[in-house]
Amino acid sequence: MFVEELKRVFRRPRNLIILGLIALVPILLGVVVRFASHGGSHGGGPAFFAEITQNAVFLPLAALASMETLILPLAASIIAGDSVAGDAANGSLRYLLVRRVPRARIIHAKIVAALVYTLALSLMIAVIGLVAGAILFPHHQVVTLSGVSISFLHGVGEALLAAVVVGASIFSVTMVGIAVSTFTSSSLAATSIAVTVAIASEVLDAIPQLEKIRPILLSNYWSSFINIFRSPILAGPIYKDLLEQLGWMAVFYLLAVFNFSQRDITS
Amino acid sequence: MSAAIIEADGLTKRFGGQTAVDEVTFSVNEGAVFGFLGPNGAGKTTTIRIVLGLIFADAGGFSLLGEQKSSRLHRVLPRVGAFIEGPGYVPYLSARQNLDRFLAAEGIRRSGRPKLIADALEAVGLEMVVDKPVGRYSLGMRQRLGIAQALLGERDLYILDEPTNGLDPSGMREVRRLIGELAAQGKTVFISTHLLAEAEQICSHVAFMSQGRLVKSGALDELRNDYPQQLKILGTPVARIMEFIGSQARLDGSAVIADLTPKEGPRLLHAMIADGIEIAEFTWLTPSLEEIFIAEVGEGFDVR
Repeated sequence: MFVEELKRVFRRPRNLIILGLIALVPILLGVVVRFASHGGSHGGGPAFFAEITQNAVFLPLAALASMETLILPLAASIIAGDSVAGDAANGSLRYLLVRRVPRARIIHAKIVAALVYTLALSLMIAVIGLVAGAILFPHHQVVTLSGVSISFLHGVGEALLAAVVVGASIFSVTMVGIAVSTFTSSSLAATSIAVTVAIASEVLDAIPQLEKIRPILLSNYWSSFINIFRSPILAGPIYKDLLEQLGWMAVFYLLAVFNFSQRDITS
Repeated sequence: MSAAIIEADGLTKRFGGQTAVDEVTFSVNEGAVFGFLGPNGAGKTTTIRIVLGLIFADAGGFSLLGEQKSSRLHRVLPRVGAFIEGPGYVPYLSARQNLDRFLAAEGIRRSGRPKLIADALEAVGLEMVVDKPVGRYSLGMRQRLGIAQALLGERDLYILDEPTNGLDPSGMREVRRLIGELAAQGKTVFISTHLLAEAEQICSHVAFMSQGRLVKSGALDELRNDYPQQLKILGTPVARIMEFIGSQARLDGSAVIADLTPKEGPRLLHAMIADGIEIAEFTWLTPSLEEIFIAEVGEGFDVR
């Protein structure tokens, strides 16, 4: 069932177009920085933006940082919102159920497939960013944020690790989308709610007076992946991020599984 | 007595304040072609969804192929082919990919799937368009794909909810032929429809649904026998025939038409012959299913 669900997600033209467009971002970013008259080192822009011209590994990191706050949550929400609601709307959900597929197996397959897609998005950005970076920029020893030099291969490994952390940081949004998707036959409604939750979290995160609730906001530790590029890696914020994602995921996982097991399938 | 394949006992389902299914009780025996009849909105599809475990009943119970718990229906569902309220498919996948998805989800081995898919698509005449995305199919083609999905693999019971919706007359004829073939193989077919003329041609048993309630059910022949039928008698002298039958007789040209039950027929015929009346024709005008339905449920419904 999981494989079938992955096929459903990755054969959908819309999802492939989203992947394709997102894949263009690191390439465009690299080309613009490489060929713009003054390079990228003005100190503005997202994290690692200023360092792009120094080393190939910073291009995927800058791309991840620039997309983590909106494009990645949006793309994950589209897949998650469509997961159950899409099959409910097109009618294939009822046919899966009457083909003796237990409800628990369907929802778990959909959850895992959506999480895989979310992770695939950030890994794809990293891989394409690394390739584009290697073509456009120097690829020798990397100087980390702590000023320590590490080998290029070590830098590549850390960039890929950063992509995994960024992907996992979006899991909470994906799980919110899946949970809402079990309540409706409208993919658009489920996607919109998941995106709204992500954006609301970021807005609340930026209000100083709400400092006390920040630790429970799902976007609070989204920039934690930057700490991978310290020497040694500063793991505390990353663990906090992953722990928080787990908390959000647990709540919405239970909601999704409980609602889907109880719900009347009327569509 | 054959074993009951589907049994419903006091099934009740409410959506909000509205009762969609109201204490519905019926039984479908093995080998029957059971017509679940009623106008749109009568509660047919909701009942079918309850029996297949898609909707949870508020009250009452049911049994499907001997299994009574919704949570354990997956044990018997491999013996059921179902078509519920129109086709369901992923529009950007082809017919082959959609059917393969269902078989894979069911746990059918990859090597066994192509033959099952080819057989089902051939049965509904879609073998030429297997690799076209279903989103580009016409309405009738999608309906055929839905029926092909129900026909995938060997099943003991076929539950078909409005299978001829959106089909042209030849498509409808094909579906009737398919159901006839299934019945001839000893399969049980449960078909819901609002097309009474269609049901009359294929069903051995029927149940009438109206406003969530089951009004009447039974073998079609028995329902006909219970229903006052019209007897057409040609003979002489007409006045004597009219006298014999009394107030239930009327004249239609030279024929006497009488509202009687079939049980009264032989006795009446004997008595008239014994009395010296010459009988040229003594024919039962069999009531149509639609006439019986209207008599039982009342007029004013969209029964066509």
